[in-house]
Amino acid sequence: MRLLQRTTRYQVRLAIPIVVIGTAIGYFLVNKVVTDQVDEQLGQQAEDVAAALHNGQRSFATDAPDELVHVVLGAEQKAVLKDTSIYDAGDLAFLPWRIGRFSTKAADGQVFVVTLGRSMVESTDLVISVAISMTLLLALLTTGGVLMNRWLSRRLWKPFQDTIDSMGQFGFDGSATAPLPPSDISEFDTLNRTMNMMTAKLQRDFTAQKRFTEQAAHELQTPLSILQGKLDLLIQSDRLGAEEAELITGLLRTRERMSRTVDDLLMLSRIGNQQFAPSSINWRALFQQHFDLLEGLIEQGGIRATIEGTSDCDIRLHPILADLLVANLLRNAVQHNIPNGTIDVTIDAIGFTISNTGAPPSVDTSTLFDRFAKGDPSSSSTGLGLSIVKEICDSASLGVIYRFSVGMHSLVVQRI
Amino acid sequence: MKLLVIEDEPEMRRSIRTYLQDAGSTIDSANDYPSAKEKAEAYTYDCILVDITLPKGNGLDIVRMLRQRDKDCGIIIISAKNSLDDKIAGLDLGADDYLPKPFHLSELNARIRALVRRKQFQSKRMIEIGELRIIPEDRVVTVNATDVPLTRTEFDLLVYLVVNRDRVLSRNAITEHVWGDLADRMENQDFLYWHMKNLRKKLMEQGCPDLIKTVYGIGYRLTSKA
Repeated sequence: MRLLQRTTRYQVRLAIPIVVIGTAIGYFLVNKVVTDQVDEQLGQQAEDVAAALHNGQRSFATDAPDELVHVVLGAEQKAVLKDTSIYDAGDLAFLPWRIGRFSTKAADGQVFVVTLGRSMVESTDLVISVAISMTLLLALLTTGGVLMNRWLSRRLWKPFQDTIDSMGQFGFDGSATAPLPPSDISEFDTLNRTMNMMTAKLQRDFTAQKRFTEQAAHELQTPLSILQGKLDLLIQSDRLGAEEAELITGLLRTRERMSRTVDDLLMLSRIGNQQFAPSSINWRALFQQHFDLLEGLIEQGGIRATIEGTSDCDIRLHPILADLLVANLLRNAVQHNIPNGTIDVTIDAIGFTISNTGAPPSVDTSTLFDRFAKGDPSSSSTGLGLSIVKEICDSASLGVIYRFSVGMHSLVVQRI
Repeated sequence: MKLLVIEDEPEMRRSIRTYLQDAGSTIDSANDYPSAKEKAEAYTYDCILVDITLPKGNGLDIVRMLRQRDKDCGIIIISAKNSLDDKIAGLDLGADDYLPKPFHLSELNARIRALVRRKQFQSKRMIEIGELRIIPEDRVVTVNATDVPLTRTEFDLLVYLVVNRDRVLSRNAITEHVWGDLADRMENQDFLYWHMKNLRKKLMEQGCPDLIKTVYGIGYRLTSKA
């Protein structure tokens, strides 16, 4: 969840009870004020009526429709104030009234029960409209607050968002990323400076490591060629018995394996280090060319190779990388094949698939593209072939996926 | 055939000298830039082998110098830096071939022979061993004047063996030369055996003695003296 969404959610969660409780309290307070006012008027009137009764007045008719005065002879009783509903013949409805009733003794000793009333219709309307406007005001304030906060947050966190976006585009080659700009907010400024330092160091280390691999591989070539030269001379000797021949064969094989590993390491470091300008490739012809070469090699194994698909795909790559990619993919397909197996290449508009028959994978297939990942440790392969495939694909923003189903291994290379 | 080997690594120089001398060439050598320059200026060679990284100079400068004087000798660059830039630069300056280290001495010999043959094609365009006669440029092989129909692969195999005659060639050196990197990395190397068997059969069918010997555990040798 985004930071802004979370903040807004918290604010809304807090605002709803505030509006509800605020409205309730507001309603209660206004109601109380209005009722107190009416009660005060009733009290005042009660005093007037009591005084008039004492002075002998007996008639208290009133014309006002929202007032009620009613005086009868009765027994002494305690004064009460209450809300009640009275049926109104004119409006055909029960309407709210505030009623006060008390007893008073006239000068002649007669006891009168006085009932005074005030219609609350107007007051209730007032209270309701006050309550509604209060609610609206509160709701408006909170919504405004939330929106304002959102807007403010978005503005304040903008540099942070920029930093995140920039980090997302980070590449080890350092070609695409510009350093993060300074910010006038000190926290963001610190963040950006730290990030700049970290990325610079990452890129430096990465380049240094690549360069080291390349140099180490170069340095190994000279001793390897001396070794090869000596072995080439050694096998010329007439005095070699079967035992010596076997030892030399072992040496030759080891030398070859070392050379291949060094070559592959060099290639891996070069793919990342050097710029290979992409150009359009005739993939169908390239696969055919490698198949022709393979044919002479695999005819005894009985492996059948086919190319399917009508169109050519428009993946662009440097010719050397394209050649290396196809060579590594096909070598992989031959090496992990079975006698009388098949290799099928399917080419479509966005990529190609190389499928070959073979035994189910013996290693964790998620590590398939890792360096030096080998199914068979005794195999003389370098374990770098698929790493090279992956490196080439990465360098050209291509995706490569491995699948195994019903005895077929498939490697899919596609534009992302 | 007279060759100049410009290589700073003494062990490397010695191996190249031994192998090529045994293959019938006269070898001169230089271990740094000044002595290489002096020899290249003073004498005439059929072919010069140049290492790019040299003490006190760059091998590419020697290539440039030789070509500016329009010396007609063949130039092969041998370099530990198997980089495309060096290769292109070297060939642009007029080198005839580029051989990345590490290489098989038999491969080096084959490249020298092919280069020299190309340069002096009038006189030495034919290779003869007894009844066997090969014209590499036309890709023609005859035994007792009868054509032997060979596939491209068999022909390449035969020429490689013939150029390195009386030398033991490791299986890997042969595969690498004929099929390149792809075959070199194949786990199963039976294909070499099959092609070799076919080649021997075709030659013997035309009455050629079996010149190709299997060297147990190591590879093959073509003997010129029966």
